[in-house]
Amino acid sequence: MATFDEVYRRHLPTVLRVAARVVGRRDVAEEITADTFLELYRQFDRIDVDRLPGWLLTVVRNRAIDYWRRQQTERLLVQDPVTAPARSDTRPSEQHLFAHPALKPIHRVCLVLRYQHGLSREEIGSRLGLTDTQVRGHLQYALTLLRKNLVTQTG
Amino acid sequence: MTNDPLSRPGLDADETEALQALGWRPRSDGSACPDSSLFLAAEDGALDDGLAERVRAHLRTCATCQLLAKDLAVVFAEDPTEAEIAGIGVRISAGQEPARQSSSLWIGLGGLALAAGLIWFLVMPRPTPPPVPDSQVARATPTAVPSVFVVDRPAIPPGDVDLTVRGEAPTQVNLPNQITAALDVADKGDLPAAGAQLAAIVQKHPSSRSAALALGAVQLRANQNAEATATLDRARMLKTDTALGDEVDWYLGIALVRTGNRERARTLLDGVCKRSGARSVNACSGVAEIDRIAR
Repeated sequence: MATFDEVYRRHLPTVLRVAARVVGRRDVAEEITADTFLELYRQFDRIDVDRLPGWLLTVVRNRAIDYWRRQQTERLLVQDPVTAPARSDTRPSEQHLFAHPALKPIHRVCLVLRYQHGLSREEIGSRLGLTDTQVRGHLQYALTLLRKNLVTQTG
Repeated sequence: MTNDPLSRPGLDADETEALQALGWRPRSDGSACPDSSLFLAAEDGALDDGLAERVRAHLRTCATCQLLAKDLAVVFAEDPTEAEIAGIGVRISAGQEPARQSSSLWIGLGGLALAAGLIWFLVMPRPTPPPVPDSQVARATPTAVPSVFVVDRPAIPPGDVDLTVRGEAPTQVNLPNQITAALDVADKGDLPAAGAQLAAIVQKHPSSRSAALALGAVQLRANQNAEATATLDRARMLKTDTALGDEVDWYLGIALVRTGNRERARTLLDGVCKRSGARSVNACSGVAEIDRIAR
């Protein structure tokens, strides 16, 4: 019979990944993950471990739904995108930059969140589970890389 | 929010220069896009239908946010970092329902609120064994830990000056003095206060090995063995002060013995024993003790 320790170690990465997706940020996902395993600990004697990780992911999902109910989602939406102006005015230069093939996903996420969505480096770090130094490094690397590539292409 | 990212507050000179050099011309104010945390939640069915549809409608028309959603899926699929594992362990060990109400507070107040809450739960004495992995055995049977594994005061070398201060401009900080002062408090018997001081230092100087070592040692003295294991494991991964390697391994070895992981403890202590450093005699005795228990 698996111990709580074994179950915790086996399923922790999956639970954290799923939680991060459904709440969209790693710091809140950490809370939900801890909450989920506390629930498992309390009910461990009554849980059939063969039902894991399904049981855990159901708890994560319920916690995430609770989380979103508490959020001021109108504020997060900012404006109704359905009635927003058509996006056909997207300038090629912007997409050209963001979609540059030299960028890795982590670089592009940092770039878009910082310069398109206007988040601070600290806020980006909280959302992605990175330190401020790591965010700063990804941004610097991405900007340098883009400058080099663009100079090469245009030069 | 202004339409021009170059005039947003908070951009430093390097960023501004780089953006100008790239000819960055934003399509629109980024605030017109929904918060990115909604993107994958809308895909995964965690939002109510009306909200999810509005987010999806935006994604259908905004190529940049489409890219962002795709990349966030990749980034969130990464394995947990050591810091995340330690953070989750601390929350579980606190036996504390993760503060649902505190999410927005943490976000709003950043590190301050996190530090205040977390520090307290790191060091507060707990009347009942917390449900943390590996910790129950040692807490339930503290006398089972051999007396050879005495937790004394760690040797903190002078000169571990850390310029990385999370959320602040880099400044010169005399960390050894701060750590020594906290260890003095521990020596006077006030372990919760010492732990709070050290947790605050670790929070502020995450790359300081000395600070993590000192916190781990105080957690061991407070019999917070799982927390000590996480803290010292993290200290072990830091390479900022290699002279502290044996000291970290010694205390981590004690933490592992207490939490029942004698095999890994033996490996670490055997290494310290063979390196003939200041902890060599302690570590050799520790290895012998582990072997005796195994017999």
